Amino acid sequence: MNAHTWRKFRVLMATQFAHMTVYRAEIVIWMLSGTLSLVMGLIWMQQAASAPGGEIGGYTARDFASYFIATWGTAQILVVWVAWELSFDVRQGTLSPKLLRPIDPFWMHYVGHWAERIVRLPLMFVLLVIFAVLTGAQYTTQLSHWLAYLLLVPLAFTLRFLLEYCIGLLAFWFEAAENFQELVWVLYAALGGLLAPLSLYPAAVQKVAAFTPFPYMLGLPCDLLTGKADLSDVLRGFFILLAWTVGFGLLRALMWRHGVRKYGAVGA
Amino acid sequence: MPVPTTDPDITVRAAQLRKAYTVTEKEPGFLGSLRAFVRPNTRTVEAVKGVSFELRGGEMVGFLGPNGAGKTTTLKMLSGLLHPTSGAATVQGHTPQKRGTAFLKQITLVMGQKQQLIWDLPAQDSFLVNQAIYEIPDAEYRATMREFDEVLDLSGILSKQVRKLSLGERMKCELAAALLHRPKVLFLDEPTIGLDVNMQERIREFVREYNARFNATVMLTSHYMADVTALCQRILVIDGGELVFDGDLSALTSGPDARKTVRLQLSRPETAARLSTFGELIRLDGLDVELAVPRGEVSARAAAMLTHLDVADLTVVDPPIEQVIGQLFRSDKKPEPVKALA
Amino acid sequence: MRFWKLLRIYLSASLSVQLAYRANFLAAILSSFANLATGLLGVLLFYSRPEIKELGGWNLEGALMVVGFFTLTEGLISVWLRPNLTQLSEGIRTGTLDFLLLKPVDAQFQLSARNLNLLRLPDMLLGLGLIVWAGAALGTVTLSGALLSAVLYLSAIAMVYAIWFMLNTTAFWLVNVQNITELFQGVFSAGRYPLQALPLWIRPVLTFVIPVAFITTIPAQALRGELGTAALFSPLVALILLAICRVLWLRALGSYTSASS
Repeated sequence: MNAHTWRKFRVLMATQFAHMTVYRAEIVIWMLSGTLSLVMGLIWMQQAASAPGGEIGGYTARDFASYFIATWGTAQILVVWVAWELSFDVRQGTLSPKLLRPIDPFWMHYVGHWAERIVRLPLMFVLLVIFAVLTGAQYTTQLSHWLAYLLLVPLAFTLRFLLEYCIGLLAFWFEAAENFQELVWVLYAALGGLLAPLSLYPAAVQKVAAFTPFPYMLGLPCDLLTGKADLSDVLRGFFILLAWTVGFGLLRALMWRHGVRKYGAVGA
Repeated sequence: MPVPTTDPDITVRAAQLRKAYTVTEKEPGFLGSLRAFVRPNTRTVEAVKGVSFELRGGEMVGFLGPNGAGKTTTLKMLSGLLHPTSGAATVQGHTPQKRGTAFLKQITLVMGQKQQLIWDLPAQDSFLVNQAIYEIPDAEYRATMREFDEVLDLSGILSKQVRKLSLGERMKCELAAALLHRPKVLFLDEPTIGLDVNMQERIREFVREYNARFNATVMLTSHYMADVTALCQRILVIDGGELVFDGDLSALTSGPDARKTVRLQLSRPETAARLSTFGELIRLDGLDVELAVPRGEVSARAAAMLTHLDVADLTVVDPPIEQVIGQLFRSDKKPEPVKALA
Repeated sequence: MRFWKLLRIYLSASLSVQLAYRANFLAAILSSFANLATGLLGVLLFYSRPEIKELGGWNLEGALMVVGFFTLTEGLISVWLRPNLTQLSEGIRTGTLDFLLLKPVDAQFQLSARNLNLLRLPDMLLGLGLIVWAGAALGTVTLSGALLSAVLYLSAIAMVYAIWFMLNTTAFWLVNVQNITELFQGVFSAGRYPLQALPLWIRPVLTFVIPVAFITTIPAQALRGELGTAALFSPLVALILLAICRVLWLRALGSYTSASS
């Protein structure tokens, strides 16, 4: 990384951070509105508590609590809204000033998302601790697992970001891309493990899910923290995520090249 | 493919630039929408129909034309935002639509309302972002800011949230941000729109200074003729996607077709028909009359008016440029007969 | 009559804009199905476990009915409430609310009925379809049960509307907070499955603090014929919420200082 690149990163990060702090109230609202995994967690906990033997598929109420709280936290780190921004920029023509600068707009958005994570982190952490204390959730104490988590999740975020970026770029062809975004979110939520630990899914669904990147983005890191997955799973998951990331990176580059040619046909 | 530039002095070259859009048409109302949903009606619209011109380094050129004539589309093609349907553009030896870093660092496009400033932060922050992105050394950045501050008077507004700036203040910041990297070619699309007269004058002054200081090429569109007359010797006029005039601003006002306007203050009302015998009647408002007459015959016609009409006052002026250009647009048509207004 | 005529014009205009976005329309239908699939997958996951026979006393058909009411309500919010009410905070921030206040029609009505996002209509239809299917599969639905359920669900709609509108009215005081209604969406998410499936401690909160139970679980209970006269509590809650909502709106208007731009 040369001096110019480092400087660009630093300035963009600082500016985007300042920008995001203006929207801190919004960020808190969005953070609190994503409750699907918490609701699912409460139901599974209740069912496990009332099940004969006190467990479902090897998960006790406490295991469920650990899993779903981890899912909630991880999903917070994986939040991406770039599809909306891109779609808006293309439709409203606000992409133009961004195209005039000698830097791919991709980097602005990518750094912006990370800057937002920094704003999000403190309250998220407080909430995670409260949830964990209330439910007695327990996590691995192995440092290597936590380090592996910290390796896996940024990669998962990057993949999700690229995926959403590609959806946003569809706006070059389809004028609006929001509903595609929802479609993919549903897949992500269902197959990623937001509804239940993937091992509780019917075998057929598990097989299908394995061919998508979603279980490795969300379910795997959480299983790692709750002690249901080990480092060899992580290694496998990491390379699968990496392959998907490279794939979507290439797709994004291709779509960008062709899309920009079409740009302007909308508003002018 | 870049057209080889023969003259090293040429910084901007457009060769048969053309841009066509496909638009979807829809009949009004619900049924129309439903029909368009099943079978969309598309139509090709040619916004720019093969435009060619060359600009020299350091030249300031006014780019004029009515709304929808293709001005903005042309500027967007020259700055690389739009890919031409056919034809080629070369700017500083680069093909714009490739949007190479070297190219982007040498140009700027300022569009009236579309901002590159971050709305929720002080303008200062956007400047720092641009400094990093354009890799401007600190010393150069400080020097540029100092120069801009002298002409634009930026002190005090750089640390205010952009959303809280007035339109004029925002435009000043916008311009400064767009020129921070000292581009050699400036495309300015309506840089003074919506500003008050003082602010317009200041922006003009800034562009003039910048041009002189950096020998930059400036291509400018504006609704305000004052912008053009103050800054540009040469103008390009586009209408219906075609270049209809390329030449000296003064040629428009002193060429063979050039006319003068004679303003009369009558002491006694006259009929439009009678007045029309002295020249083309432009305005008849009670005792106030404006007549357009060929430049060469001004003295003779004025003398005739003084003899045959009851004239209280007579002045000869240059016609406003809007009118001259309007005349240019109608040049292929017969001069329209003036209807009697009385 | 004027209201109906206005409604028709608004409807036609909304539809015209959206049909123009063809691919988007198809994707919306797909995502409606995908949305329903998520809800169904969630509920089927529970019943696919041999350890779970009933979800808080609800059999599969009953639980699907709740999913149906949830999907229907989510659809209704997306079609009707979100496109309208989120404009309020924008209007206050930019000052465009002024134009609306100047028109000779009640401003609350205008704000509530101007736009419809018909792209999300399939959500509503799928939710309704699921309710009907689950009711038929259950086989015990009576006419009186269905009527009671309809009344209760109308009350539920009124409650959702009132809550959404009240949350948006706070924009008069919290100018910089948009999307505050997403907070309700976060809580409402708990209504996607029967209330009795949730832990005991949270049920009173979802009944008396934020009436999520009234919106999905209780209409489904009525449809199953499990509800007596206690159900009349629901319209009462709805009326109270509507009244508070109206009072809050009028007070907000009273303290409105138009944004100068």
